[in-house]
Amino acid sequence: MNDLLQFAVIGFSTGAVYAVLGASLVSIYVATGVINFAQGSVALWAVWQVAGLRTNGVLVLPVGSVQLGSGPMDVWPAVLIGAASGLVWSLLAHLLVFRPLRRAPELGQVVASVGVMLFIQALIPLRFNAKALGTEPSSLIPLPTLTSKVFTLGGATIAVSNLILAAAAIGIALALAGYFRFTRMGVATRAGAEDEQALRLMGYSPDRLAAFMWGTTGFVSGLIVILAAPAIGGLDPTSYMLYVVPALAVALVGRLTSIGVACGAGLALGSVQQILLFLTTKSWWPSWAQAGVGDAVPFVIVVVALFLLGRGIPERGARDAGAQAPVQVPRLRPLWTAAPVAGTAVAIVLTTGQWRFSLVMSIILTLIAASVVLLTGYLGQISLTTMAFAGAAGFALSKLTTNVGVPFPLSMLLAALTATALGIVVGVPALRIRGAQLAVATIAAALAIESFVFNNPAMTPYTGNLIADPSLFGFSLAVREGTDLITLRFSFMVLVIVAVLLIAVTRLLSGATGRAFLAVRSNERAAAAAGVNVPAVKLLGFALASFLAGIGGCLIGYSRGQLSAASFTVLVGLAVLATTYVGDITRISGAILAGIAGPLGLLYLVFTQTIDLGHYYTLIVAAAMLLRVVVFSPHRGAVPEWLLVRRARRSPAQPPAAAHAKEPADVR
Amino acid sequence: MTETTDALEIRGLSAGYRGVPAIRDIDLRVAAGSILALLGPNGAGKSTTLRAAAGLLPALGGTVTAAGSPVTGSVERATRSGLCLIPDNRGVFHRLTVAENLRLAKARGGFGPALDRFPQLRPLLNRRCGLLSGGEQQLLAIAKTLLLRPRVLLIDEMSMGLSPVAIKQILPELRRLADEDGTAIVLVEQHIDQALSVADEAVVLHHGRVVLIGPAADLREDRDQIQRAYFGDKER
Repeated sequence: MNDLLQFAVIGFSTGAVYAVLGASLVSIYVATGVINFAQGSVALWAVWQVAGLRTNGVLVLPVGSVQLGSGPMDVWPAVLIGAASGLVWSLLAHLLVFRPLRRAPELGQVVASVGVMLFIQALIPLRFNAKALGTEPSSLIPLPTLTSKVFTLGGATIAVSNLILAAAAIGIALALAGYFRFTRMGVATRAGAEDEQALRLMGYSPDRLAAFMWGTTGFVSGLIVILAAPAIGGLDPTSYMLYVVPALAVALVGRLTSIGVACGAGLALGSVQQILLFLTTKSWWPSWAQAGVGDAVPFVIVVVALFLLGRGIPERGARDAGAQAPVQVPRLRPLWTAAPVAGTAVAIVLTTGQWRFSLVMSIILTLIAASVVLLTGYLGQISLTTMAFAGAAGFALSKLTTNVGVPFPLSMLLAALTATALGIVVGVPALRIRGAQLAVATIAAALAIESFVFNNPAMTPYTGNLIADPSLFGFSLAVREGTDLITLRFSFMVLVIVAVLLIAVTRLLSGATGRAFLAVRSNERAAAAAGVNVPAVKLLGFALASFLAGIGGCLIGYSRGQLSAASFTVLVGLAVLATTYVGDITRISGAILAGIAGPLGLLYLVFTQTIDLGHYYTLIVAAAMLLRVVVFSPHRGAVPEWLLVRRARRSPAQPPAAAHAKEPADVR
Repeated sequence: MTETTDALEIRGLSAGYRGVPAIRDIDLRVAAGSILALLGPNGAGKSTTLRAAAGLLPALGGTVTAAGSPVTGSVERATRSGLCLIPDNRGVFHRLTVAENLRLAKARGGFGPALDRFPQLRPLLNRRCGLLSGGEQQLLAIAKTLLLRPRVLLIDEMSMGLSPVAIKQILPELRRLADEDGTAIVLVEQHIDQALSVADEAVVLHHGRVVLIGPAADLREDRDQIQRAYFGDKER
């Protein structure tokens, strides 16, 4: 019992982070309707800022750096400046990204917030380098800010700092809740969540109210993570960035409206995770469940919360649900299909070594990106689990080929069907929720799969998850032969499989199934009224997408000879979504561009081998993603509204009968 | 009606959607303390005229002047300068209480004056607006807009979804508002008789253009003229 109390209190440190990030997510959702996946990244910059200031007084900026004083800065000035950096990043995100997207469809906003998240995460190692800091970044640690005193309570040793963190989280949540409840600006912010236009008619600027909330939440998120960093340890960019997942879980428990519930759930989640961590050390705890349990809890919470509360989560009044990216229904033209396949075959023959390997990786990524096109671009289901499906298939392939000895291609099919089954399970929440909430559920699922399956030592032997080379009728299709990094036979096998599947997907999308997908994307109720079985179509979409991703995962596995968990992380999944969105998430040709630009694809090789900009790859991809969504957004149509108004002001009036003829068609 | 007393002057206003005009060359003048009924069949451009005048839609041409000052820029600025619009959905916030709705008006003396004018709202202060009847919501919409001290009040489809009893309660309040406070009111209405009963002047729009202007009292007597205007006969 003493141990449980002790671990529960230890959990307040991470719990306080979840609580404040969750309260911030709720506040931003109320103020803008955006679910901000970048909340953890904003706080991450603040932590690094404080570490830099307290090491040698250097203030690192996105461009350049400023030396403040001659040595390490004192604790509280550094903490204030660090938290202020969170405020500045939050405001910049609002002004440059989310404000222009305030009437964009949810997909655009989700992609934008993922873009901001990746951008900051990629920028930190580039900016906080040895030159700027005057010391090696690896030597930086988050120095303590709170007291190190402890006391004993009922036999349990309690750190005062953990109680201070919990109190700080509760204080911040009370302040935010009080703002919304008792101040006129807060009431106006709540009103804007319901009807932005009516609020403007009362003389308020929803943008200014939103800016205030972005700045405030950036500050408090930075502050709590700075205070908690010494307790939760290290400066690893990825782990801080992904703190947003449990924070999203607790925000959903609060129905994205209750700051108090989100705060309480955050503190409770932190404690539960620590208690689970303690329990996994017990002899009676199953060995297969020792790793990743803590990361699986948020997914369970998300699924339960969405099932219980999904329809009770209010949507923003200003969003124009009809403004979606136009889709071009694909048509199979023999020449246009054969030419790229033949061109790729020639490229395979003409290349060798690393270049051919990257070309084949691009082909495989094209297939995985096609699954994103199908599920997100065509069916409108924002799923962030694509690489988890691919990894699950690769994992199953390893077991099937090494443990059971299932031959190729049956092993690959069975592995892909395993991913399909997983896809259907992950797709079940989509029957009840949609949009950004589904994105939250799927990123939580991806993180749970990554921690519980890919990084679970109990499920991975010390030798790694080996994958037997494929062969067909005694003819080896192995990726390597002698010193050859990648054989022609393997390359052509990948090309044939991907080409056949892409042709099948194109046929499917151009037919009745594709039309049903588009109907569901456009308006689920109208689709149901027209006789479309919406749940079946959604599950079919998840099944097909996970099958395609699963085949892609198997091909990645074959190309390595063993399964590498690093190939299927949440971050890689987000990068695939980013490149697919940049390419064009509604077209198969967009998937091809995504394949070329995706992680370890041809563009990546050019960055690393030819122009030596490999370190900037993620940053450039994230920047391209943000530019694509903010400046060249697909949902806006060919001509922006302001240009149409200017044109109309210059040209004579048109007859009113033309008014509806000019409306942009969703499907062309 | 002389030029010096015009609280609202709209000259050559054109506006529309995605650059396609829905109203063209609209000219309207409303004197302080008078009510103008804006009539016309569905799609005539009545709501578009109000939305463009209030700054919710970018004008493709023309000018709007409220109380002598040109209305330019954002709708927030127009509201703060005394040109207020009550939209057809009433613009009340259903998840907020009546008190919170009134508090939004940033009135210096609190929302007491609104309750003095509409005492029916006093017992409802702590009730969520979504639980009010349509008539109560419309009263609240007018009350919270009055706290903004409008010099020009634009009301879109005031009677939509309201019972005849509720309409009969609200129309005299508008007349009082014009007579006692000197507010200029533009009332978009589908119920011609009710609009003409309270208005001083009426305008009929058809296909985005003004086709009839006249004193409300005269038009009440000559329904044929309005009927012809609804079918597009221009008799300005």
